[in-house]
Amino acid sequence: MREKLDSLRTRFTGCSIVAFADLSTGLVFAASTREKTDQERLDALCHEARDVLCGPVAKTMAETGFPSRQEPMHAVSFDAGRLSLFVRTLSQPQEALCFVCDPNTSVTEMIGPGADLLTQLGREA
Amino acid sequence: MPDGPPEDEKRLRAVLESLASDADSLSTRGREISSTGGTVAMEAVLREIEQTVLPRRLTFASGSDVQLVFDVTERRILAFGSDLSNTQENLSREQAELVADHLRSFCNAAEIVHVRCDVTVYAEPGGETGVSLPDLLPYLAADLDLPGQTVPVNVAIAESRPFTLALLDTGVDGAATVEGQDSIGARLRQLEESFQANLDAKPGDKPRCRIWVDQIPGTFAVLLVQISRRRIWLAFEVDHLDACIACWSRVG
Repeated sequence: MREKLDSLRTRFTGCSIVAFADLSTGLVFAASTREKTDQERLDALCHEARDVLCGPVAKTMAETGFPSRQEPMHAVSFDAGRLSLFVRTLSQPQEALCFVCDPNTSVTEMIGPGADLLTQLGREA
Repeated sequence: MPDGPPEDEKRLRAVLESLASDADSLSTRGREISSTGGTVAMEAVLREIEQTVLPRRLTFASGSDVQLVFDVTERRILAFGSDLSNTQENLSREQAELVADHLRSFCNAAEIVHVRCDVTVYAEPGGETGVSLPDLLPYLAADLDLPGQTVPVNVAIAESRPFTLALLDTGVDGAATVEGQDSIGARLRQLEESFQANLDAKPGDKPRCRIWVDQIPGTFAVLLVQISRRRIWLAFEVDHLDACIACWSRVG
């Protein structure tokens, strides 16, 4: 799994972290990082994923915002210095890939490969 | 009452004019952006590039019939050349020095600079393509008065208009205004009302931006920008995800 995450992360020059997380438990199963990263940082990333994909605003999106009446499939959190992308799939909604990148990295280009890897990991589980 | 310092008003006016104006004819030089060359011309050219989010061909003309043509999208230079038939395409960060050299030569030789801005259709750029201002900085003069690092909210809203389906702005006083498609605007109102009711509504010091993408392909995404007590909800088509992030990542 680590090799697959490394391969995904290195496809995108601006990407510093790709982590595979379980949203139900808040645990990061595996991660690929460009620099040494402590567990606390990864835990905070997973916490952010749970908040943005499953938190109060996400639930409100499902109730009133989105035509699908479902919680969001993907989410992005960003500012001038940092961008975090959270990707999941319909088949495994409790699992997510968490990306941390430079703000000018293309989110659109990362979503497809991220979803493909999640699907692959789900089949192998 | 002006929203932001005068420099921001000039920038907003320039953005709105560029969005409203039709493409210039090939026979016109376009808008004058610098009455001199050198550093002032360089700053003006960089400002034009930094204000370009949607795909545009920027043709800069000096007083001596020399042209520099840039294809720009999401503030990144994807192609450049001296005329339409002689361009270097598919630029990447590794070519930043080459672009900087051409920019410097053009600006140093210029006596006056005009820009013509034409709508262009360009393939969606990837995160790895193009040369941005941060990529150019190491190869440019250190004393440049560069475009501001933060973007006023009103400029970000104006830059987002081409892909905005609906927008709700609580303003600084909490009096929400809604524009765009009625049905989507109504959803944004419900989101704001629910948001006010929960603990996530606490104001913060730094701007915070989040986007949520629906499960159904082809439907819309929702951006929420929180700046102090002000909240902006913006619904847009998912195809414009990168452009939306480019518009709002430096809002302040």
